[in-house]
Amino acid sequence: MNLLNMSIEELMQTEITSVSKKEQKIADAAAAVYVITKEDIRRSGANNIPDALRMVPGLEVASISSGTWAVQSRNVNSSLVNELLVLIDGRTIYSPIFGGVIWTIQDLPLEDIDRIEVIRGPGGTLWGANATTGVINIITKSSKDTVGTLASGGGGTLEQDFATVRQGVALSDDASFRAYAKYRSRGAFEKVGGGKEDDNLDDMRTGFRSDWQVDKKDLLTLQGDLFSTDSKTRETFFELTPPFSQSVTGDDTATGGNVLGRWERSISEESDFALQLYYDSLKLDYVSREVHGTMSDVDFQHRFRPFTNNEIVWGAGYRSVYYDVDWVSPLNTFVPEDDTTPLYSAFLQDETWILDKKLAFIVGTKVEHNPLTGIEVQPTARVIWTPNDNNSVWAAFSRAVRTPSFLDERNGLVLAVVPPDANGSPLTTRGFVPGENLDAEEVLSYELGWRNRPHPDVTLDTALFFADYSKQISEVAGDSYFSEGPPPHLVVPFMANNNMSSYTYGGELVARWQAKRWWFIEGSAALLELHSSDGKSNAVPRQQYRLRSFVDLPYNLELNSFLRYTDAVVIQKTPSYAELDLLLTWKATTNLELSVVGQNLLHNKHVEYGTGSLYGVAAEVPRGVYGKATLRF
Amino acid sequence: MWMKSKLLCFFFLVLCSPAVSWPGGAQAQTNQAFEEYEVKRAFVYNFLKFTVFPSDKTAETLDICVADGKTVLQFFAQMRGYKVGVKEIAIIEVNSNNEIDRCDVIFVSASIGKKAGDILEHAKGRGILTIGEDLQFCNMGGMICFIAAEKTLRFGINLKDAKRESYNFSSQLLKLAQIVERQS
Repeated sequence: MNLLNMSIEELMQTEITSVSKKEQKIADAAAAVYVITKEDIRRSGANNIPDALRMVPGLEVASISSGTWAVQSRNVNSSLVNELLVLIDGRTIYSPIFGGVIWTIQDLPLEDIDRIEVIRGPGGTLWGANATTGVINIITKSSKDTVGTLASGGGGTLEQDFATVRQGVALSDDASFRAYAKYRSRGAFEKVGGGKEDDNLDDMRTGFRSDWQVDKKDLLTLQGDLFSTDSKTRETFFELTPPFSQSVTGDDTATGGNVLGRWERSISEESDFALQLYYDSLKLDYVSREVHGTMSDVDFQHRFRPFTNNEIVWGAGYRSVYYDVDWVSPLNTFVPEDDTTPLYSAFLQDETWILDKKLAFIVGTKVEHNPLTGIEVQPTARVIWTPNDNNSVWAAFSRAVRTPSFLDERNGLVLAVVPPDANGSPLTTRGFVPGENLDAEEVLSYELGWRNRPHPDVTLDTALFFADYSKQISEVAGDSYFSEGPPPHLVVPFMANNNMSSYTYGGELVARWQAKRWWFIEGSAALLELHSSDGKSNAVPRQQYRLRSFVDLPYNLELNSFLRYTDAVVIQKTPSYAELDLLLTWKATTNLELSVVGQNLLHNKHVEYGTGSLYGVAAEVPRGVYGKATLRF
Repeated sequence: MWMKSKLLCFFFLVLCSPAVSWPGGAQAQTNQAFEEYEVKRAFVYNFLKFTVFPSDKTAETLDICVADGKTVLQFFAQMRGYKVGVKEIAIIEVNSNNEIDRCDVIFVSASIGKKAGDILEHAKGRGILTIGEDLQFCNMGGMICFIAAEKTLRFGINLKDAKRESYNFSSQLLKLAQIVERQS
């Protein structure tokens, strides 16, 4: 919303906040933060959250298939990244069952997102375990800001059909409500070697949000969603009898929902607390497995100032996770098949500032008790120095942990069946066997950053890091053994242990330039080096570059472009690639916005994740075009 | 241009509304209020659009001077290049009374305090549109001033003093303003 386009009447109804209330946020500037605003999302042409994340320097986003993505920060990317914590309005969408985020089922209307805050680097102290490489916080708009009707829809070659309808109402001066319903359908990717993959995606989602400012001090929020996602998939099934492996295509269906309630109470200008509860349920009816998982969570936090120049935030939480996993193939196992486990957590953070707020120190720690590894402690110490209005320097040291997922410890999965051969080699299976008593992975991270405004229209943001990982979980071939079956066969097990270590270092630079009133440019570069004890190198893209340009043209037209380059990930057989998205938008009337989006324009198709899905099939992202219309009133 | 406030927002984080959310999961309310000076800047842009300038103001640029207040300057600087009618806006920082002479408009930041009176004295007879941040500014002879309501902004116009400097305003602006008078 550009205030300069508003009338005086509208401006007189616009609420303002005073600067002092925001000074508490100094601590948050002592980290490598990047905020994706609503305008960034609107002007990116992205039609889903992972695509919107591509602009963040230091984030690796790779499309694996039409409905699946791999997202990671400053480390090795895969379909299940267990070091990156992702939240939507404070609800974790990182699943401890699989050890990753299923991006396919997170299709909230992008028009409901207020901003996405991305922190690269460990966020363990503030956010808990499994935030060793970063935290992504997706924040939706208050229903107060979505009063009215919104209808958007469109179609194209890859984004074949999509439509969103949202209705918001002001229930009173202090309470509001919105509900939405959304549908999308995405076409299949290309097969390497020609033809189309079997991986198209269809999903439906509906949800609501309500906010009520009960009185001056109390704010209540209630929100929830229901979804159903269907993606085509091709799975390989193994057997101990001929033909030993079969390719099966079918539908992977995921359904689920969540409900979240929050109470925020402002005690004074300098003190407030919040209480949040949520319940999340997921059912996967996949070709390969059936999984049911639920999560119940309660969190409390309190902020206050014991002295001037000193602020404390502390909190406590409890989460209960239930799962029930059933592999379709009898060769795969999950032990125990179902379980309910508790997670307890508490954190404390102290912020002190001196020299007229020019220097601030932050010290804190989070302590969690989880069912697999017991107690884990994640401390951090940070400092931020703001010598003048145009410069800010910060440094941080943190220890963060990645607890094993249930998949790491309890999953047995056959990866290959090798038939007996003429030379007498027996029938052999190779696969993961459940790990035992794994420890949490640990990272010690050292970061440095500098924000600078060399000119009123230019900002530079630099972040450097060195992260030392130890006790990393990796699969190592164990001693083969004979199994009676039937039929009798040799088992080559891959067992998980904590014997791997590695270190990463690198940095990100973001430069923003308001070149003209009508032209904004942002460029970023991310460098990343990884050295691993298992000798695997070239497991991360060593360089990534981004260039975004927003141009306001006459006649209410906008031309937005996004050029990106990602270096090769040799070990994943992903070549380097450069791609370009272009978005032309026309604000036809105050209520109607039309756009045409071209995505991945530089090549007919390209690979972003070379090793593909679990069984090694890589799909290629095709060039695509779609049109969209958005009506608001 | 919206992105300029993002530059500021991103750079400082402390000036974002709100910057980064709370730790631990429970979310601070997404505060949809706007930065005070973002809103004031938009108001000022509108004031200019509805101001009838004295007929001898024929230059191609509209020189808006900002007296003191670094924060104000950073926000207002983003208006550079915007047009009011055929004139292009230029934002200039002034630190002393002498520098005021070239101004068409002067925005007097609240941080100036008592010195505002000096500026108003000096501006007399020079045909400068004076804008301040509180009612007292108008009472001292300033032409337009912001008046804080509980969470929003109102504004006052000292029509008598404005007319004395050959300024006038569109009725569209006057009907929304609180008409104020100088008070000794």
